[in-house]
Amino acid sequence: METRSTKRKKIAHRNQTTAKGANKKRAIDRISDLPDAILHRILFLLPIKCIAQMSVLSKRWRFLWTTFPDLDFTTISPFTISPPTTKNRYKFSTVNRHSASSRKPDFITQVFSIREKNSDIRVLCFRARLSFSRLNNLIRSAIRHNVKELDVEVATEVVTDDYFNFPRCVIGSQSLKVLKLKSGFRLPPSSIMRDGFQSLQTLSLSLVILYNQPFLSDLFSESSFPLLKNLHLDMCFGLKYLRVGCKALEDFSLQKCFQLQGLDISCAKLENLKVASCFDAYSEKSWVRISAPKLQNLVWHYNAVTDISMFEDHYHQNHHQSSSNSFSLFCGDASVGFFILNEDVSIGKLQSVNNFLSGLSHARSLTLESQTIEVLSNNKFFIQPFYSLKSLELHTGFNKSNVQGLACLFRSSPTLHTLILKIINDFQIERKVSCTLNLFMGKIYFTLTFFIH
Amino acid sequence: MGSPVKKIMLCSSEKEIFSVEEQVMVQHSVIINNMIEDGSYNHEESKIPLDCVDSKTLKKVIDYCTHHTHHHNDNQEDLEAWDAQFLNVDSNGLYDLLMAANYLEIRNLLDLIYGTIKNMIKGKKIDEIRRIFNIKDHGFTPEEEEQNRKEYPHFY
Repeated sequence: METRSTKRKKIAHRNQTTAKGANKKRAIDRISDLPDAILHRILFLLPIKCIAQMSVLSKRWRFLWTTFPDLDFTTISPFTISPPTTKNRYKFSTVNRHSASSRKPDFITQVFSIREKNSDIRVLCFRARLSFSRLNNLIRSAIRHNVKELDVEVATEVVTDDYFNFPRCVIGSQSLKVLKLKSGFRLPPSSIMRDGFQSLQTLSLSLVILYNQPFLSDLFSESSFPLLKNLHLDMCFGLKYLRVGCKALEDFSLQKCFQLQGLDISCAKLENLKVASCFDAYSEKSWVRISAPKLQNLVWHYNAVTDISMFEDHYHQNHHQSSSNSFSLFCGDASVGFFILNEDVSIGKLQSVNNFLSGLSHARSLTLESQTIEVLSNNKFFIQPFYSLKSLELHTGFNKSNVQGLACLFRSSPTLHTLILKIINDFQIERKVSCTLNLFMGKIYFTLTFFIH
Repeated sequence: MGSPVKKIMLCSSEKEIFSVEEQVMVQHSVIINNMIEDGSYNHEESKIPLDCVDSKTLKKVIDYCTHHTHHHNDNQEDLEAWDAQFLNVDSNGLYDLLMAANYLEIRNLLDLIYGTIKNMIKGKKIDEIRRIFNIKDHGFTPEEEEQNRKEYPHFY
C-alpha cells in the first residue's frame, strides 16, 4: 500500500509537471490513495455483499476488504448463510436455503478465511441457522481477531429440542466490549462465567434456557463483570431468582422472565431500570427488592404484584434499619403497570402495592397503567402523597369503578403540573384526553383534546 | 451589543490567511475545538497552519462550517439542498474536501462526503466503478483478473 501510494504520487507529480496539468490530474485514481480508515468508513455504508464485490476492483480494494473491520452480515437474508453450491472458494453470493449442513464453507467462513492475519475485527454481526460447532468456530475466530462487538442471533440447523451451549470462548476475551446473543442456549455454571468478561460493557442475552440453574444468585455479583454498564436479559426460561449487583451497571432491563419469583437489585450506579412481563400471578411467594440510589428512570410493566416489594435506600441499609418497609429518594420518572388477580387479593399484596408506590413518593413524573388504577380502585387505599410529582399520566377505562382510584391519586398529588388522561375502553376504542394544567403566573391554561380511533 | 465576535486565523498551504469566527470552527472541527480548549491557540499572535489544505478547499470548508452554524435551525430539506449544491464539485475537489475534513475532524462534513462517495459506488458494476474512479491499474495479474471475471461475471 505504501509503495503504491508513493508510486501514485510520483505519477501525479510527473503529470503535474507535464503540460495540461489540471486535465491530467483529473485522470488519476485518487480515491485509492485515501487512508485505509477513510475507505473503510465509506465501505461501511454499503451492504456487505457490495463491499465483497469491491474486492475485485483492484489489489488495493482487495486489501481493504480483507482488513475490513465491521463485519455486519445482517444484510444477507436471515438464516440463509448455508453453504454455496459451487466449489469456488470465494463464491460470495450463492445461497441455498434447503441444503443441510455440509463441509463447503459458508459466506462468513469464507470471509474469515481470506482475512489478513493481524487485522482486528471490530464488529461481527450475523443472524444465521447453523450448527453449534460452526457457531463456536466463528466466534472463536472472531475472538482471535480481537473482536470488540459480537451481535449474534442463531438457530440450530435442524428443528429439534436441542439447545446451544453458551460459546465459552467469549468468557476470557480481553477485547470484547459488547456481547449480544440470541438463541436457545444454556449458560455454563456461574463459577466459570463470573471471572471472565473483564472488558465487557454491554451484555444482552435473549432466549436463555435456565431450567437446570433457575437461581442466578452469584453470576451478576459485585465482583463480576467489572465494567458492565448495560445489561439486558430477555426470555430467560426457567429463571426463578435473579440477583444483580454489578457495581458499574447503569442500565438494566429484564423482560419476559415469566417464572421469576425473586428479584434482588442492588446497584450503586443504576440509573435506568425496566422490568416487564416478569412475575407470574400464580407464583407462591414472589418478592422484589430494589436498592438503587441513583435510579432516574423506572419502567415496571405487566408484572404481577409481588408478595413483597421493597425499595431501599443505601443510607438506610448502612444504618442497619433495613427492616423499615420502604424508604427511597427516588426522584425520577416512573411508569408503573402491575396487576393482581381478583382471587389473589391479600393484605400482604396490598401492602406490597403500598410499599411500591411509597417508594416512588418523590418521583418527578409518573405514568400508571390501567391495571394499576384498577388495583387502587378495587381496594381501599391510603397512599402516601407524591411530594414532588409534576407530571401524572393515567391510562384508564374511565369507568365509574375507577373513580375511587383516580380520586385517591389526585388527592395524593398536591404539586401536579401536568395531567394526562389516556382513556382506554374494552371495545378497542381509545380516546385520549390530554389536559395540561399550566399553573403559571396565576393563569390557568386548560386544553382538552380527544382522539377517537 | 456585547463583545465583538472572536476570530481565529487559519493559514492555507499557499500561506493565505483566512479569518473565521471562532465559534464556527469550534463547533465543527474537533481539532480546532481541542486547540482552543487546551489553550494552545493564542488569539493575539497565532494562526493555525493547515499545510495540507489549499486555499480553494479551505474556503469551501469555512463556507460549510459557517452555513451550518448559522442555519442549523433551517428545515432539513433546505439544508440537504444546500449540501447537495455545496458538494457539486469535481472528484478532485471532493477528495480535497474529504482530506481537509478528515484533517480538521469535521464529522458532519465527513459523513456527507462518505455518503456521496457511497452513492457513486452503490449498485454499480466493477467496470463502471473503475471508470468513475479512474482505476486504470488494478494491480491484478492478467490471470487473476481473468479468474475474477470468470468467477463473478455478474460483478462486471
